Amino acid sequence: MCIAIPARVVELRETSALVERYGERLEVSLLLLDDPVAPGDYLIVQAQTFAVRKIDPDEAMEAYRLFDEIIETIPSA
Amino acid sequence: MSGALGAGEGKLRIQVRVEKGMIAAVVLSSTRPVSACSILVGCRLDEALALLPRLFGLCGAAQAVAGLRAAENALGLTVSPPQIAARRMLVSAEALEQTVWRILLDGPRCISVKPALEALKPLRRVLASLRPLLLPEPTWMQVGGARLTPDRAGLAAALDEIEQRVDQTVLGRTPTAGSPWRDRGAFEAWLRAAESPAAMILRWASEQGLAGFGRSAVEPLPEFDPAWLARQMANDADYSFCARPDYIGVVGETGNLARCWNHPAIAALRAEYGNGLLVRLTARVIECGALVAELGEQARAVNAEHPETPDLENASGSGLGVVECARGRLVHWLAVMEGRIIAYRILAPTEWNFHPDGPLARGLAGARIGGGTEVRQPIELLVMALDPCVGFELTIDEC
Repeated sequence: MCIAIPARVVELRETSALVERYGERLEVSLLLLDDPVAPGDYLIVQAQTFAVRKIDPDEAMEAYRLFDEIIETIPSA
Repeated sequence: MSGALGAGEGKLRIQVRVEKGMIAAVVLSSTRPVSACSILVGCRLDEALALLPRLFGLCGAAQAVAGLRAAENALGLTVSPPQIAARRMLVSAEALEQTVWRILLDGPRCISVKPALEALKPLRRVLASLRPLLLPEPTWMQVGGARLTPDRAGLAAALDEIEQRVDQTVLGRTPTAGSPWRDRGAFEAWLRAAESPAAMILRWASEQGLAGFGRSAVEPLPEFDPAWLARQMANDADYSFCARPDYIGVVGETGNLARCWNHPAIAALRAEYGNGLLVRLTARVIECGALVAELGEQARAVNAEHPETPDLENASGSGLGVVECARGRLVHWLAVMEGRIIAYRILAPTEWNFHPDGPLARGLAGARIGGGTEVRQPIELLVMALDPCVGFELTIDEC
């Protein structure tokens, strides 16, 4: 199941961004995005490599609420 | 905190031991959260269905359609052919994007060639344009169907562009060139001459002597008996079936190759290389064309309509939804009582293809790695061809 946790943009680089989700930071390519990206934006990332979509903060917060619940309730967490 | 991330998205771990040029042992393990859908329990049915594309952000259309079908089966609702066609278009568009992604980005990376990123971007853009050309509301995941307002001229232009882009970027051929699949000679000629990423990947596998790499006796999943499957899903309170499924004792494979199994070009290649690497990669390329054709066929079946919303407040029942999506057969099962979800299970295609007794594990076990080839490359290419829905970590222990 391709669960996708939104990632918050921490820092912009040339064609990539440093993003963070649940404290883990990773660098993702922005080359597949059409929309401009700024620090603080939320992105959906595929395979921890490419940002594929920008989402609005409300949608990101709703997603985090769901993932908080998954992480809290699933035994393997 | 990476543990928290791992718990959310999960990861596939593939451990391989190589001895004297042969893969002597394969261990697959996974931290994929197969019970993540349990958070939908207690939600209203319509809320749960709206959450699916957010939860599964990378295959949202397929997950939403599987959920809708499960809900509609639970409620005994019949959905109109135009609604079914519109949903199939969304799922096919999503599958096409992911299938082309593997060919243009992931395949080249496996063989140390520059990914064709600039070719994928405009294709993604035009595929994303299909939903608003069909369904005006982004919240289209309505039980019984959503308002459909197909823009026929816009759809025709978008489908033309999709066809041209797939032809050019995947096959690398001009509109006047014939199909490389019409006979073996045409395929060989395309394989020798084409400069598209798809042809380069296939040629690499062929030249490295890896055409049959990863072949096994695993066959495609048969059609499911819905009553049998519904019983398995209903009884799977601990998600053990969804984590490690079998179909009446047998593990089959699902996805591109399973769907193209009887395509003439694939049948001819199978006779020589079984379900090995070249055959899998070719099936992925063939499927791009099949998905383009599917989009055109379904576009002819959509009509404007605005179905009534059924009463979901008192809905009770259970149902199964099965959808063929980018990575294979996706199954949702849900139970609802008085409008609220009381059980939800999802069986994802990755659980078949990356099963400890599935096509990756059985294909790698005993496989020979030819001299001069890096061990990692063919294994990564085989994993890419089977396409897990989560990231993977490959560890190779060479003795």
